[in-house]
Amino acid sequence: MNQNEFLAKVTPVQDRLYRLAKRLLVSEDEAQDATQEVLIKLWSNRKKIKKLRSVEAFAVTMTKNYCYDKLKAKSSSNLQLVHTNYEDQHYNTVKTSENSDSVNWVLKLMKDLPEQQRLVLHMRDVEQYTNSEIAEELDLNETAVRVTLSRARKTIREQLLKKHNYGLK
Amino acid sequence: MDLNKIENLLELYFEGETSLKQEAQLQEYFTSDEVAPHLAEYVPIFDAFAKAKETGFNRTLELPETKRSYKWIPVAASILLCIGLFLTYNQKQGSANDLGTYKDPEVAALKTKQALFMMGSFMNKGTGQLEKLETFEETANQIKK
Repeated sequence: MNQNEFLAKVTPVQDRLYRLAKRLLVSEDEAQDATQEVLIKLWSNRKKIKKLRSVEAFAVTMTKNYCYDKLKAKSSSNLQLVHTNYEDQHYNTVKTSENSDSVNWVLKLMKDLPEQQRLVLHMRDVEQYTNSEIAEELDLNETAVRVTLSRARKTIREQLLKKHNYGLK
Repeated sequence: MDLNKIENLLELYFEGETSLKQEAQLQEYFTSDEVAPHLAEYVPIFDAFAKAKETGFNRTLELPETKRSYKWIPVAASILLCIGLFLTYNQKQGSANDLGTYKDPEVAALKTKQALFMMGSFMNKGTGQLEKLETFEETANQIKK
């Protein structure tokens, strides 16, 4: 496999890998690093890739594991990056700004979900994977995926409505 | 789209029971401009998913140059060595089968002569030893008498 063939295979996938990494690592820079790292690993494993049924599933697993390792290293070294996306609440008058503010709020809520729920919600609602694909990727059965998904969505809804009502009162 | 249907789908959505196709319908409805007021609070959820999908990997990938692998060289060397050993061994065995026939009759005759002379001289050595037997016989005869 030469560079061009490899890039043709990998380019459609790389944005998804990045978004997955970002969902897990939160920081954009780290996510870019992770994606780059995974793509280079894929390149050095390109002979293996040729035989694979789906490069994407393989790459997603690699990205997920890479991010987990990163997170583990981070928590063990006790270094925590806190990313706050709170925006200034004073400019809530215009409806559009309120909307984009709520969007950011939802994205923040997603970050606060437990890892498993976050992954499942991301894979399903952002990347539109099927439940069976998610199940295979995360080593769960499909019922568990559905339950996790439902929980994640309900949590988002609850938190969002809470904030909404709080804003009104 | 029918409001009832959307409400139904939304209910199923939170139970995790919607199909990808139905979720696409919801996504389409909630990112459109005609969301019913009482459903407006769900808009940010679907907007957030759409927004999350906009980002992507934006670095140019620099793939490391492929190094030529020299792994096969020791393998090739050992195979060559084996072939070499095999051939030389076979050659030695072949020399055992070689009868050493001379092509040139003159040389052959000469060599045969040499060989025969050698044999003759060995035989003479043998007969020389036989003379001692005569003294043995003489003494034996003396004792018999």
